[in-house]
Amino acid sequence: MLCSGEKHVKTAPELHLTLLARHKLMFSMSEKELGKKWDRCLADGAIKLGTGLGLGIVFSVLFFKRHTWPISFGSGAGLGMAYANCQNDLRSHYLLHRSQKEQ
Amino acid sequence: MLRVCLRGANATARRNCGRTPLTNLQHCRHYTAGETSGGAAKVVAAGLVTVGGGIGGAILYAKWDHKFRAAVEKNVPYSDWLLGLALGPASQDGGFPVKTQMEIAQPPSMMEKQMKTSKAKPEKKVKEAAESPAKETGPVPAQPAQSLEEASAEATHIISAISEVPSVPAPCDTEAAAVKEECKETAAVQPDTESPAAAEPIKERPVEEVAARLAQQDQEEQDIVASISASLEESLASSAKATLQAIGAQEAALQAITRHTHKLKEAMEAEEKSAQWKDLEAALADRTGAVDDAGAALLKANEALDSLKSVIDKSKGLKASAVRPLVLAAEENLHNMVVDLDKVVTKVQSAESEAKIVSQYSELVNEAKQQFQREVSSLTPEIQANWKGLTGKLSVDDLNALIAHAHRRIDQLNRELAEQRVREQIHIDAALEQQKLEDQKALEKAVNTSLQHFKEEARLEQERKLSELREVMEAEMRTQLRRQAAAHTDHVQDVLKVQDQELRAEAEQVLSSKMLEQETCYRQLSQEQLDNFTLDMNTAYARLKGMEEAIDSHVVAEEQARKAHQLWLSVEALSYTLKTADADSPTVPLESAAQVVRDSCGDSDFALALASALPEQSLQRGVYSEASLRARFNSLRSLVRRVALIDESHNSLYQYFLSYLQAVLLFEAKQEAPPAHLSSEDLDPFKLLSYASYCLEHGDLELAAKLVNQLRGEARRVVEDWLTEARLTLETRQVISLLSAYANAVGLGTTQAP
Repeated sequence: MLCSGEKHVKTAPELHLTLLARHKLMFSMSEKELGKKWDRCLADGAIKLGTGLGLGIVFSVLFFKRHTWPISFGSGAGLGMAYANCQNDLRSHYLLHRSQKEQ
Repeated sequence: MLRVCLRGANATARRNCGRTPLTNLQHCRHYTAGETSGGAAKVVAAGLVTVGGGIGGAILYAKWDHKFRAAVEKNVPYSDWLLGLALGPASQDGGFPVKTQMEIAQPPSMMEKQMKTSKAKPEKKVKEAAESPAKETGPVPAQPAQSLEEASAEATHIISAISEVPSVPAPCDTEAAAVKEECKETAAVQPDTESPAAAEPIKERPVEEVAARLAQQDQEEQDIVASISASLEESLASSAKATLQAIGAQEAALQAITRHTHKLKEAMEAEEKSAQWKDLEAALADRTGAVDDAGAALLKANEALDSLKSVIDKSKGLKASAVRPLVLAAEENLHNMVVDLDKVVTKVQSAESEAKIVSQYSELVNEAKQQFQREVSSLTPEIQANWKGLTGKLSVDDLNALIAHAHRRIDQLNRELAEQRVREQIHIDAALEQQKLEDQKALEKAVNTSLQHFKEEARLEQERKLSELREVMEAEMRTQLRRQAAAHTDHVQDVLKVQDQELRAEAEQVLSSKMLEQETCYRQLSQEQLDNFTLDMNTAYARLKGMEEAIDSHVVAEEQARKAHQLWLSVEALSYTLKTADADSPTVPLESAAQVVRDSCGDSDFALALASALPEQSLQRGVYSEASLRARFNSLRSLVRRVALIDESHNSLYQYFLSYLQAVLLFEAKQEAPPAHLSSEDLDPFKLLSYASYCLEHGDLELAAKLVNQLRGEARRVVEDWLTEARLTLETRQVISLLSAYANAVGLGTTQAP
């Protein structure tokens, strides 16, 4: 599906680019982004929760004599980190990143 | 003054303050006004009187003095109108004196000129009257002067009659002066003719009349001359004949007398013979006859001469100038004849006197002879008279007697001689006296005749000289006239030349203008023809061209139509490709169709622009259909509802939770008709969504996109792609609709008419 005519003879990298662009175009659906973000959020939350829990458990078992506070602490920390990450991810569009700022 | 009064009024008002200052003031004002009015009226009246008096005085003075009036009129504007009203228009006495003088000067000269012409007229009349034989005017010596005047008057009359130029003042004056002199002269010469001249009407005769008169006069003169010459010739001839006859007679008489004398001498010397005596007698008879004839002829000649003289006098009295030479010649002839006659008469008289002497002598001799004869006969009675031949016949006695007689005779003669000698002186004196008397008489007579002759000769000489002078003068006058005529002819020639030139120039101009006209006409016509021809040619050519163009345009139009059809078809194909989109997947990439469209565009920039205005993505990737977009929107809607509260400032998770809550709790209409104007309330996302879904349901993607475009924040981010897709679709659809419209239009245009 190359453009006909002399004007539109493209080189290989351009071709690659246009394929990517087309791909992007074809499949870019901005409404799916939120869903993706939520997915990531949840996944991240789950992971962080689990990790936090686990670490909490570990720490509670290991270091803190089977208190429950390190578990709640860890899970809370994990949840909190996940919350923060989710929020950040969701906000990421509205925040100017340092690289953009520098630019 | 008014101020003073007002001050006074104010002062009174102040004094009477409170009481009615206003009325007081008014009173005062009345008073002051009255006072001032009184004073002003006086001043005004005085001024008016002065001005009126001045004006009246000026008018009166202007009426009296015109120079003043003129000065006033010149210096003061509108015064001429006023003065005209008052006095009437300015009289022209001092106005133009020069002109009137000139005008006055002109008529007198004209009058004088006409008077001169009228004077010349009566002269002519007088001449004509004089020509009639009844009248004889003027003595002869006055005639040459008169004739001079006549000639000069004639000449001036001719000149004035021929040159009928209206008199110009300057030459007119001199002419008037000259004319005046002439008038005076002629008046002096002919005082008797002035009175009839004044009574005549004064007008200048025309040239033809003058010429006719002149011709008539010439004719008359010629007649007179002819008659006079005839009469003169006649009388001359007769007198000449008579004179010749007389002269001949006188000559004959003379000859007869001489012959007689001679014969007598001969007879005396020779012996007396009867033949001689007879001859003598015959001669005597001859002589007497001749003398008588001569006398008669002389009488006749004298008569003839007298008649000739009378004729000459008569002709002199006629005063015709051409007759003068004839008269002169006649007079000369007369004089010559008279002279000849007198000469001959004197000759005859001398001959007669001689003859008388001779006859006396012969008588004496005869007497002596007779006495001697008697004596001899008394002595010798027997001896005959002819004693010369008797020498041989005489005897001695006779001879002695003869000798004694002779001696006696001799003695007697001696005695007589002595006596004569004694009385010689007395005799001689007496004879001398006698002779003197006779000589005196003869001298007187001769002197008288010669005086007469000389007088006559002198008179004739004078006449001749006069005639010569007259001729010379005539010649001079003729030359002058000729010169004048020559000058006049030159002038006329010059004028004619100038006129000729002018006329020629005029004619040439007219000709050239006419020619130019004709040429321009011709050129115009030819140009017109040419123009018409070119016009026709052009029209024909244009029609041909038109036809060709029509045919070409037909071809072109058909081509265009074909192209348009192709375009339409391609556009239709393009628009059909739009319909190939399924619910979820986009259409086929429009590239090929667009390419076909581009190819079938041809040279239509509009179509090309449109074809190239198709968005790249639609060409590469294709576009979503409306239905898919609708479906997508419907799925989007719930998402947008969920993130309605999220924007730049509100984007924490808590906000997310709230917005989710809102979405759950808030109910809006599924579809709501969007208003014509969006207010700020309508910018709520839920409302916008309902509007947009309404629009989508009703197929208005554009409005739906516009409404969706109003979303802000996260909702906007979420619908961004949908919006882009919608935009793409809309763009593509717009371009395609434009193209199809264009193709339709072109197709319609091409199919209907070129």
